[in-house]
Amino acid sequence: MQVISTPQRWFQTFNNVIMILLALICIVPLLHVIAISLSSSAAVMANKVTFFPIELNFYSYTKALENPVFLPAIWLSVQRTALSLGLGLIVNCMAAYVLSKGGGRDGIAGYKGFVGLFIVAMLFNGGLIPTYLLVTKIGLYNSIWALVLPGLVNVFHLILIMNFFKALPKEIEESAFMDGANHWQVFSRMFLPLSLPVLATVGLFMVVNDWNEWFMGSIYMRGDNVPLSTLLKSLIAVPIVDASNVNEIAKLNNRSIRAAQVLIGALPILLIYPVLQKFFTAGIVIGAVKE
Amino acid sequence: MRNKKKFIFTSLVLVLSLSSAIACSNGNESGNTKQPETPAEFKIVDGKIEPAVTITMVRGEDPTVKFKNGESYMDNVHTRWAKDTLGVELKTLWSSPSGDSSYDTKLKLMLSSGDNLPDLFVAYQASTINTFIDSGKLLDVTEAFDKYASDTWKAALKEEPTAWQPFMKNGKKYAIPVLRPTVGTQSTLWIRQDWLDKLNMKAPNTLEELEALMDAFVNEDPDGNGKKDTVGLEIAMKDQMLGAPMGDSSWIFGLFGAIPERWYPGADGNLQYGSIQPGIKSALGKLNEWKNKGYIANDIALHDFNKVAENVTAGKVGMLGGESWMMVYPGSMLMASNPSAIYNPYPLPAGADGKNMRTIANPYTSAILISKDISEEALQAYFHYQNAMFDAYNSDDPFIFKGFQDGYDYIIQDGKANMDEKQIPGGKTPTMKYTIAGSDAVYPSKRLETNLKMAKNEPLTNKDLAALAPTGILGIDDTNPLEHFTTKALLVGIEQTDADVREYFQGPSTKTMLSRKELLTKMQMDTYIEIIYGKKPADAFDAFVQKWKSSGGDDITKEVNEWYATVK
Repeated sequence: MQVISTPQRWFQTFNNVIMILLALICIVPLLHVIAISLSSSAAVMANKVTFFPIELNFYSYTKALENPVFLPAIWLSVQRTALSLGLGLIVNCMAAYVLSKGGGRDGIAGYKGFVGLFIVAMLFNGGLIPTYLLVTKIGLYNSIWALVLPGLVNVFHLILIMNFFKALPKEIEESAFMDGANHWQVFSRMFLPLSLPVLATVGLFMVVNDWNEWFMGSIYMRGDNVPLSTLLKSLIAVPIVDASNVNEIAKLNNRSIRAAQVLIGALPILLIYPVLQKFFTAGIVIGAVKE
Repeated sequence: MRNKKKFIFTSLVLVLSLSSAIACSNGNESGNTKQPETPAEFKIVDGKIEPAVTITMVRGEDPTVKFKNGESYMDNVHTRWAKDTLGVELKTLWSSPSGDSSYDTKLKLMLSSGDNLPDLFVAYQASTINTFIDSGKLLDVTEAFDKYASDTWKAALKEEPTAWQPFMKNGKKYAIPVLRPTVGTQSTLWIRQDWLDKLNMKAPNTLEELEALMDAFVNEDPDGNGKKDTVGLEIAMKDQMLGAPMGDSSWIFGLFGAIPERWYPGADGNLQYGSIQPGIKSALGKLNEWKNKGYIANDIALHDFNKVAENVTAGKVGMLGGESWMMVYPGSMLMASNPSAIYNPYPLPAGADGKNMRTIANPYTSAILISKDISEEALQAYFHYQNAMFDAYNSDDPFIFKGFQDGYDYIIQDGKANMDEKQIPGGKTPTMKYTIAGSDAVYPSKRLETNLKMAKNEPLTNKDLAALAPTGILGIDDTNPLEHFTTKALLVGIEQTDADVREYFQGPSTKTMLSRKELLTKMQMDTYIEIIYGKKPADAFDAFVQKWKSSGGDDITKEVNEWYATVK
């Protein structure tokens, strides 16, 4: 039986208190938003709602889903996230596999050039106007590819995966080659299954990123064909109130509806997180260790 | 091996730099592609252009715009009306939300990427408009306006000559202002009527009475909950003194003879900056006194318009200055939780020396920017369309826009217009936002005349109703009793128009403003707040004025007056 000393117990208690506080900081705002989305708008405006709904109703949710652009926006976001995730993992993993071999006899010609290219691309980008020009002039305007392609290769993700690949024991790879495998087989049959933690991690990054990213949607897409994040951004931006729209503001400027929309928007991420979390911690740590 | 690697790397770098060079040079080409045009037959039959002419445009999406029946900016009851009745086909290339900065970002991207501009579009932000004017890609509208605009439209704009000023460069007009009614944007004093009655008090006529009323609102428990949780006066002053439509601060400073953050003529006829006028010092001293007595909120420096709306809804506010629509919003929210709680509009109390000052809004909301490359037909078609929008003022047909508002703003039942929200299938949908300008065509004096008639409950003639037609309303909406407060506030506001101070500086930001304005505004807010919070004595104001002048303020004043000399 293990004896816990008093200082240790103190530390445990202290630790628990800190952790509970941290958890509360994350949960409390969420509860508040949930309460707002379920309360009447007058109570919300008067700032009476804290953590429990006042005059409970589901009006905000029906109203939010009634918005004709809301469901299409969700669908576009889902498609975009799925495409980005699938293609992004393939592209980044393949690049990472090649780069993890390094230069020299086993590696590739121009290794340093490629690494340089990626590093330069990570540190500098063309800026808003050239990027916009590129995307629109190659005909991606108002197409889902404008949301997927520009951010497909993420150098940060690539480096995470590359370091993970590098950390895999070389002997595994060599044994596969001895059995007659080629690079494709080693990559798909050995490296990918062994790299689930880092793939889950990077995948989670990608999903969260793509789900929340709004700026590309606002400049590359037409107003009636935007992903959810862009739509939410425009819904939440408070319009200037003046005589010409005050009647509408009185009806529409409704924090409950916005809260409901935000919650619906955040729901997928909230659901994905707990599932992927166990990979998440392992992935980050392993990816960070370098030999 | 080594050489091979080097080769690959160098070629990559080369490819990269080449591609960026191509991207940059691309922008200059498309500007000069104007082809000589042979004007096609432009025939107007019964007010309709035959064959229809297309105008291309882009749109900022107003977050308060509603659509129904599957309509959108691209295709709706108004665009169909324009095509069927006027022969003007409105083609919207794209739209983007204007509530955040997306619309302006996209406009600027469109300009800098060298894309062809649409024929015309509305721009709201001064910086965006100036960027386009400077780009040289806009049509000088001076001649076109003289040639094609109807007499009614010209007369309407003539009433607000200063509305052109922001859109002029070297004496030429580069955009057409979109007018708005300014009466009603001035503050009246809104007082909680139920509290006033309960405490047996009167609306204040002087500064002393104002203070007495604030004192009662704070200390005599007007809401009867036994707690000291009310404030006498609500002010929005977070980050800036002016600009909040509710909780306006301008009239409070105006009681002491100055308006901060606004340029207006001083005794010598030159423009002076209100923030550094001596009256401000007394006003700040007074605000400090009020804060110490609890007349204004303890965290007043953090109140913005939304906070004001919150506090009003929570029933904590005794008085505030604000525009005419106070009771529609946020007043209606307050009434939702407390039906007997109403605010009534009252004239502002007399200032310290008997004079009042308060702000009045600019007479324009935005401007129509027309591309230099617009075809002659499209240009004429635009004027044909806009003239038709102004035709309401020559008509005595309140239903002049047939089929355009019926079923959206109102429905016709038994030959009469019904404006009841609940009676209109699919809900009330304001159609004036579907127009090219995104708002109604305003003829200020005629609109005001009709509004005042409504306020006084005088019978409206058909001609009056026609003047309201572009807004899609047909007289007072009796189904919404809160509208009556708005018209009442118009009547109260119009009694004190001597107090109105407009923004006289309408030019683009001057050189020194661009580099210094942010710093100077921060300095001003810091000083004001410190004095109001009692961290510094009121005398700190004098030091601020000196510092403001030496930190670029004098240069700005000079530049502003140089501009003023060109328009005076």
